[in-house]
Amino acid sequence: MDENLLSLLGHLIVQSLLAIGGIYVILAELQRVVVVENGWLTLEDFTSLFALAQASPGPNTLFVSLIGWRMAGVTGGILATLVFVLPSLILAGAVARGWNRWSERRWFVVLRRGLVPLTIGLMASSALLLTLAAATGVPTFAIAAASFTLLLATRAPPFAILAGAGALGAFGLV
Amino acid sequence: MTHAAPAAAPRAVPLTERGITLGAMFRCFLVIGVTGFGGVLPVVVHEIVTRRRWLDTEEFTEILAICQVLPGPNIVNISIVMGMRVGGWPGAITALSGLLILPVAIALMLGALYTGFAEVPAVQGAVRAIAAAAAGLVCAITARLFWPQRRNPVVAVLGVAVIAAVAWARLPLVVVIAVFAPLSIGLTLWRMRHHG
Repeated sequence: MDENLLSLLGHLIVQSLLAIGGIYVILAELQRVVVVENGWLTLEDFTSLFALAQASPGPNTLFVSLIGWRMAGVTGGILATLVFVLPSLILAGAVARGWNRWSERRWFVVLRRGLVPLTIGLMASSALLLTLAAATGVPTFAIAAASFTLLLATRAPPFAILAGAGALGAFGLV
Repeated sequence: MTHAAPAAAPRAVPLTERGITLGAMFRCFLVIGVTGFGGVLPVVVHEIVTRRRWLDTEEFTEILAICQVLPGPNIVNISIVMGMRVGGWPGAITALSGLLILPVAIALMLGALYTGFAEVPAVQGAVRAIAAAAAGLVCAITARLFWPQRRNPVVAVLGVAVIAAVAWARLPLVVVIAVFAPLSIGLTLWRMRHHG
């Protein structure tokens, strides 16, 4: 196997443990390792792969898959994905295994309920930051407000709402 | 709120006894993976809480709360926790594969096509509109998770503090969690002692 790919996989397994809350936390560190320190990708490559991951369906783990793919083809993409989710599988799996056994224990109830205020604060922060970044003018703000209302007031699936917005944008209406 | 928990909340019934098969789990996460653009959380809530009613809103928030402090993307952790609780390790691997298999294939195909794709004006317009709609959806999901907690003063106080720390002070998430997780748990514990 390619030496660079092996080294990338080593970095990914460590960084996946630091990615508490998702991949956004480790973007700066990923860029340092992949672009600045080792020169595996150019900054342009790094940025466009990130945009691509955002535009693709699915979890933003895909960014890691695309980095692996760019460095070592399809095998690299698949290996990078697997290595990145492995620590999650072990840790989340272990927690879930205990879930039923612990579910009525006081410390687990306190932990679950106690983290709810933090979770809602973090969600609200992402909602705010995403909206500030995306709703930059009247048309985009109207789209954001319409999708907010549609999701709460109807049973429209999120996919249909996004597809509708995408169609409006593709016809130059946004 | 039209999507509040159904009258007979499933909370008392263990997850293993809600008739969720591994096949249904795989299909559910397949749908979540492939329809989740710009943040997968709105789709997860739609598929698991609104449509299939496998969990009620509060159960979902508790799972999300734990998954948020575990490393890795929340949705990856949610699929593992749901799969594990329904069908052990095979369940966890089933749910995780369902989530990842199509998006990874699609992303690698898009990657192969992507040269020149970002220059087309129609594509730029679509991406701009999708980003705005996705932000609106995340706001809607936040409102839904917040609604059952609206009379909980800890949520209001901590919510404002966390927003200030993340969105205004731009503190790294690891720092925010290290500071606010103990505070969140401590205040909740204090409230449980004083209000039962």
